[in-house]
Amino acid sequence: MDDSFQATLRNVWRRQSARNGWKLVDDEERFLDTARVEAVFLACAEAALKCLQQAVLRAYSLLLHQGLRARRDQAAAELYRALHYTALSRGRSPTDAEEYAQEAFFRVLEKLPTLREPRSLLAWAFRILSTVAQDRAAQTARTAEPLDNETAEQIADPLDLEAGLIEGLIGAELLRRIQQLIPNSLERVAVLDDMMRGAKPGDTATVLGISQTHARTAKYRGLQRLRKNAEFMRFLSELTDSSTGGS
Amino acid sequence: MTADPEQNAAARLLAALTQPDPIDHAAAHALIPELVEAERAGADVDDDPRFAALLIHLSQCETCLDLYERTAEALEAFLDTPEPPTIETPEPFTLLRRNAYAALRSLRGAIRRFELSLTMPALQPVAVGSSTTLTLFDEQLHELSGAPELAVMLIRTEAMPMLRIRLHEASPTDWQVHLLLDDARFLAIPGPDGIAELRGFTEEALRSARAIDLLIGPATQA
Repeated sequence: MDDSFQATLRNVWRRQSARNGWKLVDDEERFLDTARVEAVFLACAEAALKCLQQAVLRAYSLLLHQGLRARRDQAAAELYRALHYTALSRGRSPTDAEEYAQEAFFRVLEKLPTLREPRSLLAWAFRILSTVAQDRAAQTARTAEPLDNETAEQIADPLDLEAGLIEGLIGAELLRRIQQLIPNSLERVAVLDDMMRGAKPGDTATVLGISQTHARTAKYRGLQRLRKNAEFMRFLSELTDSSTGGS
Repeated sequence: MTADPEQNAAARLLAALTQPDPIDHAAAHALIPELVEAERAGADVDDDPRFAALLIHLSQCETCLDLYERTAEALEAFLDTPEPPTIETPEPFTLLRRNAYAALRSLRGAIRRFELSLTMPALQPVAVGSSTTLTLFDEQLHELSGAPELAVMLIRTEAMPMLRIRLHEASPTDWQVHLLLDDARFLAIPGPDGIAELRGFTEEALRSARAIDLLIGPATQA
Protein backbone atom coordinates (compact mmCIF):
# COMPACT_ATOMS: atom_id res chain seq x y z
CA MET A 1 0.00 0.00 0.00
CA ASP A 2 1.34 3.43 -0.89
CA ASP A 3 2.31 6.42 1.25
CA SER A 4 -0.88 8.26 0.43
CA PHE A 5 -3.03 5.42 1.74
CA GLN A 6 -0.89 5.27 4.89
CA ALA A 7 -1.29 9.03 5.38
CA THR A 8 -5.08 8.81 5.00
CA LEU A 9 -5.22 5.96 7.47
CA ARG A 10 -3.08 7.94 9.92
CA ASN A 11 -5.43 10.92 9.65
CA VAL A 12 -8.46 8.74 10.28
CA TRP A 13 -6.75 7.21 13.32
CA ARG A 14 -5.65 10.54 14.78
CA ARG A 15 -9.10 12.04 14.41
CA GLN A 16 -10.73 9.08 16.09
CA SER A 17 -8.20 8.86 18.90
CA ALA A 18 -8.45 12.60 19.66
CA ARG A 19 -12.24 12.52 19.54
CA ASN A 20 -12.57 9.48 21.79
CA GLY A 21 -9.63 10.05 24.13
CA TRP A 22 -8.04 6.73 23.13
CA LYS A 23 -4.72 6.26 24.92
CA LEU A 24 -3.91 2.55 24.67
CA VAL A 25 -1.59 2.90 21.67
CA ASP A 26 2.06 3.19 22.69
CA ASP A 27 3.54 2.57 19.24
CA GLU A 28 1.61 4.40 16.54
CA GLU A 29 3.42 2.82 13.58
CA ARG A 30 2.79 -0.67 14.83
CA PHE A 31 -0.85 0.18 15.46
CA LEU A 32 -1.17 1.56 11.93
CA ASP A 33 0.29 -1.69 10.58
CA THR A 34 -2.54 -3.55 12.33
CA ALA A 35 -5.10 -1.08 11.01
CA ARG A 36 -3.70 -1.53 7.51
CA VAL A 37 -4.16 -5.30 7.77
CA GLU A 38 -7.79 -4.64 8.73
CA ALA A 39 -8.20 -2.23 5.81
CA VAL A 40 -6.94 -4.95 3.45
CA PHE A 41 -9.29 -7.48 5.07
CA LEU A 42 -12.21 -5.10 4.55
CA ALA A 43 -11.00 -4.26 1.01
CA CYS A 44 -11.07 -0.53 1.77
CA ALA A 45 -10.39 1.91 -1.04
CA GLU A 46 -8.34 4.95 -0.05
CA ALA A 47 -11.28 7.31 -0.34
CA ALA A 48 -13.68 5.05 1.51
CA LEU A 49 -13.71 6.94 4.79
CA LYS A 50 -16.30 4.75 6.51
CA CYS A 51 -14.35 1.65 5.60
CA LEU A 52 -11.12 3.13 6.96
CA GLN A 53 -12.90 4.21 10.15
CA GLN A 54 -14.04 0.63 10.50
CA ALA A 55 -10.51 -0.69 9.98
CA VAL A 56 -9.20 1.62 12.72
CA LEU A 57 -12.07 0.63 15.00
CA ARG A 58 -11.27 -3.05 14.53
CA ALA A 59 -7.57 -2.52 15.20
CA TYR A 60 -8.34 -0.50 18.33
CA SER A 61 -10.88 -3.09 19.46
CA LEU A 62 -8.02 -5.59 19.65
CA LEU A 63 -6.13 -3.32 22.05
CA LEU A 64 -9.24 -2.68 24.11
CA HIS A 65 -9.88 -6.39 24.34
CA GLN A 66 -6.34 -7.04 25.57
CA GLY A 67 -6.67 -4.17 28.06
CA LEU A 68 -9.97 -5.41 29.43
CA ARG A 69 -8.65 -8.92 29.83
CA ALA A 70 -5.66 -7.53 31.72
CA ARG A 71 -8.10 -5.46 33.84
CA ARG A 72 -6.48 -2.18 32.83
CA ASP A 73 -8.41 0.78 34.20
CA GLN A 74 -7.72 2.82 31.07
CA ALA A 75 -9.33 0.18 28.86
CA ALA A 76 -12.35 -0.03 31.16
CA ALA A 77 -12.72 3.76 31.19
CA GLU A 78 -12.50 3.99 27.39
CA LEU A 79 -15.08 1.26 26.88
CA TYR A 80 -17.42 2.88 29.38
CA ARG A 81 -16.99 6.25 27.70
CA ALA A 82 -17.75 4.76 24.26
CA LEU A 83 -20.97 3.27 25.61
CA HIS A 84 -21.91 6.47 27.40
CA TYR A 85 -21.19 8.69 24.36
CA THR A 86 -23.14 6.40 22.08
CA ALA A 87 -26.16 6.28 24.36
CA LEU A 88 -26.11 10.08 24.53
CA SER A 89 -25.63 10.41 20.77
CA ARG A 90 -28.64 8.18 20.25
CA GLY A 91 -30.74 10.78 22.05
CA ARG A 92 -30.96 9.27 25.52
CA SER A 93 -31.35 11.62 28.44
CA PRO A 94 -28.20 11.97 30.58
CA THR A 95 -29.78 9.83 33.29
CA ASP A 96 -30.85 7.10 30.88
CA ALA A 97 -27.55 7.21 29.02
CA GLU A 98 -25.64 6.59 32.21
CA GLU A 99 -27.96 3.78 33.27
CA TYR A 100 -27.73 2.10 29.84
CA ALA A 101 -23.94 2.47 29.80
CA GLN A 102 -23.61 0.97 33.29
CA GLU A 103 -25.75 -2.01 32.42
CA ALA A 104 -24.05 -2.61 29.08
CA PHE A 105 -20.59 -2.21 30.64
CA PHE A 106 -21.30 -4.88 33.24
CA ARG A 107 -22.68 -7.26 30.62
CA VAL A 108 -19.61 -6.73 28.42
CA LEU A 109 -17.30 -7.58 31.31
CA GLU A 110 -19.16 -10.71 32.31
CA LYS A 111 -19.51 -11.97 28.73
CA LEU A 112 -16.05 -10.98 27.52
CA PRO A 113 -14.76 -14.58 27.32
CA THR A 114 -17.64 -15.47 24.98
CA LEU A 115 -16.68 -12.86 22.37
CA ARG A 116 -15.85 -14.72 19.13
CA GLU A 117 -13.90 -12.00 17.40
CA PRO A 118 -11.89 -9.51 19.52
CA ARG A 119 -11.62 -7.18 16.51
CA SER A 120 -15.38 -6.71 16.75
CA LEU A 121 -15.28 -5.80 20.45
CA LEU A 122 -16.73 -2.30 20.05
CA ALA A 123 -19.41 -3.39 17.56
CA TRP A 124 -20.24 -6.23 19.96
CA ALA A 125 -20.40 -3.79 22.89
CA PHE A 126 -22.83 -1.65 20.87
CA ARG A 127 -24.89 -4.77 20.20
CA ILE A 128 -25.04 -5.33 23.97
CA LEU A 129 -25.95 -1.66 24.50
CA SER A 130 -28.72 -2.19 21.95
CA THR A 131 -29.91 -5.25 23.84
CA VAL A 132 -30.14 -3.13 26.99
CA ALA A 133 -32.18 -0.56 25.05
CA GLN A 134 -34.35 -3.33 23.63
CA ASP A 135 -34.97 -4.74 27.11
CA ARG A 136 -35.96 -1.32 28.40
CA ALA A 137 -38.19 -0.76 25.37
CA ALA A 138 -39.93 -4.07 25.99
CA GLN A 139 -40.55 -3.00 29.56
CA THR A 140 -42.22 0.18 28.39
CA ALA A 141 -43.95 -1.58 25.47
CA ARG A 142 -42.30 0.65 22.93
CA THR A 143 -43.80 0.26 19.48
CA ALA A 144 -41.53 0.31 16.46
CA GLU A 145 -41.39 3.66 14.72
CA PRO A 146 -42.46 3.46 11.08
CA LEU A 147 -39.58 3.83 8.66
CA ASP A 148 -41.34 6.70 6.89
CA ASN A 149 -40.77 8.80 9.99
CA GLU A 150 -37.01 8.39 9.87
CA THR A 151 -35.24 11.50 8.76
CA ALA A 152 -31.62 10.52 9.25
CA GLU A 153 -30.98 10.09 5.55
CA GLN A 154 -32.07 12.01 2.52
CA ILE A 155 -33.40 9.38 0.20
CA ALA A 156 -34.59 9.27 -3.37
CA ASP A 157 -38.35 8.86 -3.68
CA PRO A 158 -38.97 5.10 -3.49
CA LEU A 159 -42.15 5.58 -5.50
CA ASP A 160 -40.04 6.50 -8.56
CA LEU A 161 -38.31 3.15 -8.33
CA GLU A 162 -41.60 1.38 -7.69
CA ALA A 163 -43.13 2.81 -10.88
CA GLY A 164 -40.39 1.21 -12.96
CA LEU A 165 -40.55 -2.10 -11.11
CA ILE A 166 -44.26 -2.73 -11.40
CA GLU A 167 -44.63 -2.19 -15.15
CA GLY A 168 -45.07 -5.92 -15.72
CA LEU A 169 -47.47 -6.24 -12.80
CA ILE A 170 -49.95 -3.44 -13.51
CA GLY A 171 -53.42 -4.79 -12.84
CA ALA A 172 -52.09 -7.99 -11.27
CA GLU A 173 -53.79 -9.26 -8.12
CA LEU A 174 -50.40 -10.00 -6.55
CA LEU A 175 -49.38 -6.35 -6.73
CA ARG A 176 -52.71 -5.17 -5.33
CA ARG A 177 -52.34 -7.42 -2.32
CA ILE A 178 -48.72 -6.43 -1.69
CA GLN A 179 -49.63 -2.75 -1.82
CA GLN A 180 -52.43 -3.36 0.64
CA LEU A 181 -50.33 -5.36 3.10
CA ILE A 182 -47.20 -3.18 2.93
CA PRO A 183 -48.37 0.42 3.16
CA ASN A 184 -44.86 1.75 3.81
CA SER A 185 -43.43 2.71 0.42
CA LEU A 186 -39.79 1.98 1.26
CA GLU A 187 -40.57 -1.47 2.67
CA ARG A 188 -42.74 -2.26 -0.35
CA VAL A 189 -40.14 -1.13 -2.87
CA ALA A 190 -37.39 -3.13 -1.15
CA VAL A 191 -39.56 -6.26 -1.46
CA LEU A 192 -40.59 -5.52 -5.05
CA ASP A 193 -37.00 -4.80 -6.09
CA ASP A 194 -36.02 -8.34 -5.10
CA MET A 195 -39.18 -9.87 -6.59
CA MET A 196 -38.93 -8.17 -9.95
CA ARG A 197 -35.19 -8.03 -10.62
CA GLY A 198 -33.58 -10.17 -7.92
CA ALA A 199 -32.04 -7.10 -6.31
CA LYS A 200 -30.22 -7.51 -3.00
CA PRO A 201 -30.65 -4.86 -0.29
CA GLY A 202 -27.24 -3.46 -1.28
CA ASP A 203 -28.53 -2.87 -4.83
CA THR A 204 -31.72 -1.24 -3.59
CA ALA A 205 -29.68 0.92 -1.22
CA THR A 206 -27.51 2.16 -4.10
CA VAL A 207 -30.50 3.10 -6.26
CA LEU A 208 -32.25 4.90 -3.41
CA GLY A 209 -29.15 6.47 -1.89
CA ILE A 210 -29.69 4.95 1.54
CA SER A 211 -27.59 2.66 3.72
CA GLN A 212 -27.56 -1.10 3.25
CA THR A 213 -28.88 -1.44 6.78
CA HIS A 214 -31.82 0.82 6.02
CA ALA A 215 -32.69 -1.07 2.82
CA ARG A 216 -32.30 -4.45 4.49
CA THR A 217 -34.44 -3.51 7.47
CA ALA A 218 -37.13 -2.19 5.14
CA LYS A 219 -37.13 -5.33 2.99
CA TYR A 220 -37.22 -7.74 5.93
CA ARG A 221 -40.01 -5.79 7.64
CA GLY A 222 -41.97 -5.94 4.39
CA LEU A 223 -41.44 -9.70 4.14
CA GLN A 224 -42.50 -10.14 7.76
CA ARG A 225 -45.75 -8.30 7.07
CA LEU A 226 -46.52 -10.61 4.16
CA ARG A 227 -45.52 -13.76 6.03
CA LYS A 228 -47.85 -12.91 8.91
CA ASN A 229 -50.87 -12.86 6.60
CA ALA A 230 -52.04 -16.47 6.15
CA GLU A 231 -54.48 -15.54 3.42
CA PHE A 232 -51.75 -13.92 1.37
CA MET A 233 -49.45 -16.91 1.82
CA ARG A 234 -52.23 -19.21 0.61
CA PHE A 235 -52.86 -16.98 -2.42
CA LEU A 236 -49.15 -16.83 -3.25
CA SER A 237 -48.78 -20.57 -2.97
CA GLU A 238 -51.75 -21.19 -5.27
CA LEU A 239 -50.45 -18.65 -7.78
CA THR A 240 -47.12 -20.40 -7.90
CA ASP A 241 -48.76 -23.83 -8.17
CA SER A 242 -50.86 -22.68 -11.11
CA SER A 243 -47.72 -21.59 -12.96
CA THR A 244 -46.21 -25.06 -12.60
CA GLY A 245 -49.48 -26.88 -13.33
CA GLY A 246 -49.90 -27.73 -9.66
CA SER A 247 -46.94 -30.08 -9.69
CA MET B 1 -40.21 -20.78 -14.39
CA THR B 2 -42.67 -19.33 -16.91
CA ALA B 3 -42.33 -16.07 -18.83
CA ASP B 4 -45.35 -14.53 -16.99
CA PRO B 5 -43.93 -11.65 -14.92
CA GLU B 6 -46.49 -12.08 -12.16
CA GLN B 7 -45.78 -15.76 -11.74
CA ASN B 8 -42.04 -15.27 -11.93
CA ALA B 9 -42.27 -12.62 -9.25
CA ALA B 10 -44.58 -14.81 -7.18
CA ALA B 11 -42.15 -17.71 -7.32
CA ARG B 12 -39.25 -15.54 -6.21
CA LEU B 13 -41.29 -14.01 -3.41
CA LEU B 14 -42.58 -17.38 -2.23
CA ALA B 15 -39.02 -18.69 -2.06
CA ALA B 16 -37.99 -15.72 0.08
CA LEU B 17 -40.97 -16.14 2.39
CA THR B 18 -40.73 -19.88 2.97
CA GLN B 19 -37.03 -20.44 3.60
CA PRO B 20 -36.50 -22.44 6.78
CA ASP B 21 -34.76 -20.45 9.54
CA PRO B 22 -31.35 -22.12 9.92
CA ILE B 23 -30.17 -20.52 13.19
CA ASP B 24 -31.46 -19.54 16.61
CA HIS B 25 -31.44 -16.15 18.34
CA ALA B 26 -28.18 -16.75 20.21
CA ALA B 27 -26.29 -17.62 17.03
CA ALA B 28 -27.77 -14.56 15.35
CA HIS B 29 -26.78 -12.28 18.24
CA ALA B 30 -23.19 -13.49 18.01
CA LEU B 31 -22.94 -12.62 14.31
CA ILE B 32 -24.80 -9.31 14.23
CA PRO B 33 -21.75 -7.17 15.18
CA GLU B 34 -19.69 -8.61 12.33
CA LEU B 35 -22.52 -8.12 9.85
CA VAL B 36 -22.98 -4.50 10.90
CA GLU B 37 -19.25 -3.85 10.59
CA ALA B 38 -19.04 -5.46 7.17
CA GLU B 39 -22.04 -3.51 5.88
CA ARG B 40 -20.61 -0.26 7.12
CA ALA B 41 -17.33 -1.03 5.39
CA GLY B 42 -19.28 -1.45 2.14
CA ALA B 43 -18.84 -5.22 1.78
CA ASP B 44 -21.25 -7.28 -0.30
CA VAL B 45 -22.69 -9.16 2.65
CA ASP B 46 -25.54 -10.72 0.67
CA ASP B 47 -23.08 -12.92 -1.19
CA ASP B 48 -20.86 -13.65 1.80
CA PRO B 49 -21.44 -17.23 3.02
CA ARG B 50 -20.53 -16.16 6.59
CA PHE B 51 -23.79 -14.23 6.81
CA ALA B 52 -26.15 -16.40 4.73
CA ALA B 53 -27.88 -18.05 7.69
CA LEU B 54 -28.03 -14.81 9.67
CA LEU B 55 -29.69 -12.92 6.81
CA ILE B 56 -32.41 -15.56 6.51
CA HIS B 57 -32.94 -15.38 10.26
CA LEU B 58 -33.16 -11.58 10.23
CA SER B 59 -35.75 -11.69 7.45
CA GLN B 60 -37.96 -13.75 9.75
CA CYS B 61 -37.25 -12.59 13.31
CA GLU B 62 -38.59 -9.17 14.28
CA THR B 63 -36.67 -9.02 17.55
CA CYS B 64 -33.30 -9.80 15.99
CA LEU B 65 -34.00 -7.43 13.10
CA ASP B 66 -34.70 -4.69 15.63
CA LEU B 67 -31.45 -5.53 17.45
CA TYR B 68 -29.50 -5.48 14.18
CA GLU B 69 -30.94 -2.07 13.30
CA ARG B 70 -30.21 -0.63 16.74
CA THR B 71 -26.64 -1.97 16.65
CA ALA B 72 -26.00 -0.43 13.23
CA GLU B 73 -27.40 2.89 14.44
CA ALA B 74 -25.26 2.77 17.58
CA LEU B 75 -22.10 2.12 15.56
CA GLU B 76 -23.08 4.92 13.20
CA ALA B 77 -23.69 7.28 16.13
CA PHE B 78 -20.32 6.44 17.65
CA LEU B 79 -18.33 6.91 14.45
CA ASP B 80 -20.25 9.70 12.77
CA THR B 81 -21.06 12.11 15.58
CA PRO B 82 -18.54 14.86 14.78
CA GLU B 83 -17.73 15.73 18.38
CA PRO B 84 -18.36 13.66 21.47
CA PRO B 85 -21.05 14.94 23.84
CA THR B 86 -19.64 17.55 26.17
CA ILE B 87 -21.01 15.86 29.25
CA GLU B 88 -18.39 14.41 31.60
CA THR B 89 -18.17 10.62 31.65
CA PRO B 90 -17.42 9.28 35.12
CA GLU B 91 -15.00 6.44 35.80
CA PRO B 92 -16.77 3.08 35.68
CA PHE B 93 -14.97 1.61 38.69
CA THR B 94 -14.27 2.81 42.19
CA LEU B 95 -11.42 1.07 43.95
CA LEU B 96 -12.68 0.17 47.40
CA ARG B 97 -9.67 -1.65 48.74
CA ARG B 98 -6.48 -3.21 47.53
CA ASN B 99 -3.80 -5.25 49.24
CA ALA B 100 -1.22 -7.80 48.20
CA TYR B 101 -3.74 -10.52 47.46
CA ALA B 102 -7.02 -8.83 46.60
CA ALA B 103 -8.49 -5.80 44.90
CA LEU B 104 -12.14 -4.91 45.36
CA ARG B 105 -13.77 -2.48 42.96
CA SER B 106 -17.37 -1.41 42.78
CA LEU B 107 -19.05 -0.60 39.51
CA ARG B 108 -20.66 2.77 39.17
CA GLY B 109 -24.44 2.79 39.31
CA ALA B 110 -27.52 2.48 41.44
CA ILE B 111 -27.26 -1.31 41.33
CA ARG B 112 -24.72 -2.88 43.66
CA ARG B 113 -22.12 -4.67 41.56
CA PHE B 114 -18.54 -5.33 42.27
CA GLU B 115 -15.45 -7.03 41.00
CA LEU B 116 -13.03 -8.93 43.19
CA SER B 117 -9.61 -9.72 41.74
CA LEU B 118 -7.70 -12.31 43.71
CA THR B 119 -4.01 -13.01 43.27
CA MET B 120 -3.45 -16.72 42.94
CA PRO B 121 -0.92 -18.20 45.35
CA ALA B 122 1.53 -20.83 44.13
CA LEU B 123 -0.33 -24.12 44.18
CA GLN B 124 1.37 -27.32 45.26
CA PRO B 125 0.13 -30.60 43.78
CA VAL B 126 -2.62 -32.31 45.76
CA ALA B 127 -1.55 -35.60 47.33
CA VAL B 128 -3.31 -38.73 46.11
CA GLY B 129 -6.55 -39.34 47.98
CA SER B 130 -6.54 -36.01 49.79
CA SER B 131 -8.15 -32.62 49.41
CA THR B 132 -7.15 -29.12 50.42
CA THR B 133 -9.14 -26.01 51.21
CA LEU B 134 -7.56 -22.61 50.79
CA THR B 135 -9.34 -19.43 51.86
CA LEU B 136 -8.62 -16.77 49.27
CA PHE B 137 -10.85 -14.07 50.74
CA ASP B 138 -13.07 -13.76 53.81
CA GLU B 139 -14.11 -10.24 54.70
CA GLN B 140 -17.07 -8.01 55.32
CA LEU B 141 -17.56 -5.44 52.59
CA HIS B 142 -18.32 -2.38 54.69
CA GLU B 143 -17.94 -0.16 51.63
CA LEU B 144 -21.05 -1.59 50.00
CA SER B 145 -24.54 -0.81 51.21
CA GLY B 146 -25.82 -3.62 53.42
CA ALA B 147 -22.19 -4.54 54.18
CA PRO B 148 -22.41 -8.10 52.80
CA GLU B 149 -19.91 -10.70 53.92
CA LEU B 150 -18.02 -12.50 51.23
CA ALA B 151 -15.82 -15.55 51.45
CA VAL B 152 -14.02 -17.31 48.59
CA MET B 153 -12.53 -20.75 49.15
CA LEU B 154 -10.56 -22.87 46.73
CA ILE B 155 -11.22 -26.56 47.28
CA ARG B 156 -8.90 -28.93 45.46
CA THR B 157 -9.03 -32.67 45.10
CA GLU B 158 -7.27 -34.99 42.69
CA ALA B 159 -10.24 -34.82 40.36
CA MET B 160 -11.28 -31.22 39.83
CA PRO B 161 -10.84 -27.92 41.68
CA MET B 162 -13.83 -25.89 42.82
CA LEU B 163 -14.39 -22.36 44.08
CA ARG B 164 -16.93 -22.05 46.85
CA ILE B 165 -18.37 -18.57 47.32
CA ARG B 166 -20.28 -17.65 50.44
CA LEU B 167 -22.26 -14.43 50.23
CA HIS B 168 -24.03 -13.31 53.38
CA GLU B 169 -26.67 -11.02 52.00
CA ALA B 170 -30.40 -10.46 52.46
CA SER B 171 -31.44 -12.10 49.16
CA PRO B 172 -28.44 -14.09 47.93
CA THR B 173 -30.46 -15.95 45.27
CA ASP B 174 -31.00 -12.68 43.39
CA TRP B 175 -27.27 -12.51 42.73
CA GLN B 176 -24.96 -14.27 40.38
CA VAL B 177 -21.25 -14.84 40.46
CA HIS B 178 -19.11 -14.95 37.33
CA LEU B 179 -15.62 -16.33 37.42
CA LEU B 180 -13.48 -15.02 34.57
CA LEU B 181 -10.52 -17.29 34.12
CA ASP B 182 -8.33 -17.14 31.07
CA ASP B 183 -10.60 -17.42 28.01
CA ALA B 184 -13.57 -18.88 29.83
CA ARG B 185 -16.28 -17.77 32.18
CA PHE B 186 -18.13 -19.78 34.78
CA LEU B 187 -21.42 -18.83 36.33
CA ALA B 188 -23.02 -19.81 39.62
CA ILE B 189 -26.09 -18.56 41.45
CA PRO B 190 -26.01 -18.69 45.24
CA GLY B 191 -28.58 -20.83 47.00
CA PRO B 192 -30.73 -19.56 49.92
CA ASP B 193 -27.75 -20.23 52.21
CA GLY B 194 -25.63 -17.84 50.11
CA ILE B 195 -23.34 -20.62 48.86
CA ALA B 196 -22.39 -20.74 45.18
CA GLU B 197 -20.03 -23.35 43.76
CA LEU B 198 -18.05 -22.74 40.61
CA ARG B 199 -16.72 -25.80 38.80
CA GLY B 200 -15.61 -26.87 35.37
CA PHE B 201 -12.15 -25.30 35.23
CA THR B 202 -8.92 -27.21 35.48
CA GLU B 203 -6.05 -27.25 37.91
CA GLU B 204 -3.77 -26.19 35.03
CA ALA B 205 -5.90 -23.12 34.30
CA LEU B 206 -5.68 -22.08 37.94
CA ARG B 207 -1.94 -22.65 38.09
CA SER B 208 -1.26 -20.60 34.98
CA ALA B 209 -3.51 -17.69 36.06
CA ARG B 210 -1.79 -14.87 37.89
CA ALA B 211 -5.15 -13.76 39.22
CA ILE B 212 -8.80 -14.69 39.04
CA ASP B 213 -11.63 -12.22 38.69
CA LEU B 214 -15.07 -12.56 40.20
CA LEU B 215 -17.87 -10.35 38.97
CA ILE B 216 -20.71 -10.26 41.44
CA GLY B 217 -24.05 -8.60 40.93
CA PRO B 218 -27.73 -9.14 40.29
CA ALA B 219 -28.67 -11.50 37.48
CA THR B 220 -28.61 -9.91 34.02
CA GLN B 221 -30.24 -10.85 30.77
CA ALA B 222 -28.52 -12.10 27.59
